[in-house]
Amino acid sequence: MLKIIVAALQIEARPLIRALGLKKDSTSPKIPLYRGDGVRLVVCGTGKLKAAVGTTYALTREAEPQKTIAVNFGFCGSADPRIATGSLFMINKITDAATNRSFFPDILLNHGLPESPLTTHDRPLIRAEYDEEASRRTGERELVDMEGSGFFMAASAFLGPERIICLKLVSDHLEGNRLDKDLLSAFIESQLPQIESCLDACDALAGPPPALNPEDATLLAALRPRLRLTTTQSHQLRDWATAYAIRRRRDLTILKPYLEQTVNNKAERNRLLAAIKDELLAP
Amino acid sequence: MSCWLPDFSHVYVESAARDYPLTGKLLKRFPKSQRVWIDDYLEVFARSRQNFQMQKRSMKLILAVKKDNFLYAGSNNAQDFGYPNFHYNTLILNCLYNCDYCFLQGMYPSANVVLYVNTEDFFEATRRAVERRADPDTPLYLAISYDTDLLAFESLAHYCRLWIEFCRETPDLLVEIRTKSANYAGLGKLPPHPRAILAWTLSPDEVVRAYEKLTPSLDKRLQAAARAQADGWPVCLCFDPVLRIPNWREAYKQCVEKTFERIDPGRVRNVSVGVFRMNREYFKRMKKSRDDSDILFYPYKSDGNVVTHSTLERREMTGFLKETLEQYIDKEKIALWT
Repeated sequence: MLKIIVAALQIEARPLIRALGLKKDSTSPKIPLYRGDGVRLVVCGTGKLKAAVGTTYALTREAEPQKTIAVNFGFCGSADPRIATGSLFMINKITDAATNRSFFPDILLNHGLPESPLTTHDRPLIRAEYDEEASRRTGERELVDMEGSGFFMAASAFLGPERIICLKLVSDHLEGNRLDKDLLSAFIESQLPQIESCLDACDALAGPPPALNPEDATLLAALRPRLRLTTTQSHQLRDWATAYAIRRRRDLTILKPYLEQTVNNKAERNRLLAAIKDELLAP
Repeated sequence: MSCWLPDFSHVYVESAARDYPLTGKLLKRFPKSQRVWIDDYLEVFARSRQNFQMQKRSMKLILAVKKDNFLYAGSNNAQDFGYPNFHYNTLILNCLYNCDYCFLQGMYPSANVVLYVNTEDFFEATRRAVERRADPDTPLYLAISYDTDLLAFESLAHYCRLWIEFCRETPDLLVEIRTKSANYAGLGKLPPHPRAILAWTLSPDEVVRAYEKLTPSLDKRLQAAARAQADGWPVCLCFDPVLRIPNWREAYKQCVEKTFERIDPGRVRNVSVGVFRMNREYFKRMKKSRDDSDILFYPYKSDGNVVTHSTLERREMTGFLKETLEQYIDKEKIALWT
């Protein structure tokens, strides 16, 4: 399963690029994109609009975006001094501060991290402003960032909520001070095993393989013109074949002889189709 | 250790549900669960692109307040047992079980369980509906376990007990609790009431094993139904849906035989029989979302807005069940969906 990581800043991305052995994609000069085995990483820039653009960009470059997992990784702030800087959180609710709309990733897999809600703001927040914001909401302490909601909205145009993951690392307590880059890198380095473990666990979301394997699908596609099947008949054939594959746990080899058949009229077609139906649905 | 989080690892709580006593009780019941506060349950329940079967591996609990539609008129796919005032309600959305043929997969966008905590509003609406029922000569028949299996949830929220007590004090109300659960003990020592019907859905063991995932075996269901019958509860039996598995005749014959080895046919209130049938849109959605159950790929026919067996197969299956059941039970007690 392909994992697409969206990070706002190079400082957030660099430790992951190194740990996952990613290489820069030279065909993507405007939005930095890195590739590795089953992983892509895009550095989108700061803010929810850039996060949405970067996420969409990365997902649309893939042939099968629906078979991917999108992960937003980055720094966040916390107004709660009890939460140590360097702590990593799995986000279970993302609220866009400007619209007050909330989004919910589906957290189905064991991840071993503490969870938290997150609010995405349009500009950097300092503690005094945060308290004001918080009083208007539930009174709960949540984390704050500038990308989460943009990332989620873009990713959910392609993916189900179980395939959208938001990991946030607490960088500061909203003091508004310039942050020490070395310290921030060290925070990420120390959380790399947890991040990698979360990414690995996502493979369970791939789901079961389809009932019809690719060869079966090709065989059915070949039978359609060969037997001059109508669209409805093709759907019926697919259904019977699926029932057969599930019930018998076999491939569709029994249909191969029908590829040698010639059909000259509707009556011949219908006779052959009835024979196939009997064969596939036999008790 | 499973890679999946346990069921109800997360409890989503609607802000309006926060102060209901049941909310507090349920939050205490799951102290380790993550609590996520939400404005409206639909924010979570009705998200787009949810994966129903994936969610079944780690169901979440959503506590909500129902705002309207506390009762619905019965659907054409359900049997009304000759009661003109037939209604159902939705105290809980979704089910702890995961039957392959279940219409909930097509009806709801999510497998997560929504539990409405404002029970008193349901009671009030039901009292009003009883008063205003169309046919005052017959009671209001209320099925309270249609979009869920309420008895399976009984250890979580005592809805069965609450509704049986409510039924006891509400004249002209008949409550039906349909279930596959063996959790009869969940009703505690509650005395039976003639207007509170317990209805067990029964299927051959082959069907239970292959298509009714997470449900108790036929034996366990019969054990529960027999105990309820012995305690004096009105008990109904539902052979519904009858599935056309390869050896369906033998399987259902044995199932009926086994049933009446345990259950006293003379004290059965009624028996309902119906073949697989489903709203066409729900069926389409289910087939689109999963291809791991052969039961969904059988060559059913569309009959108006319903996907079901051909008339010939329907007659053959219900006819066989009727004939088999009539060896044990008066034909007046058998209701058929044909």
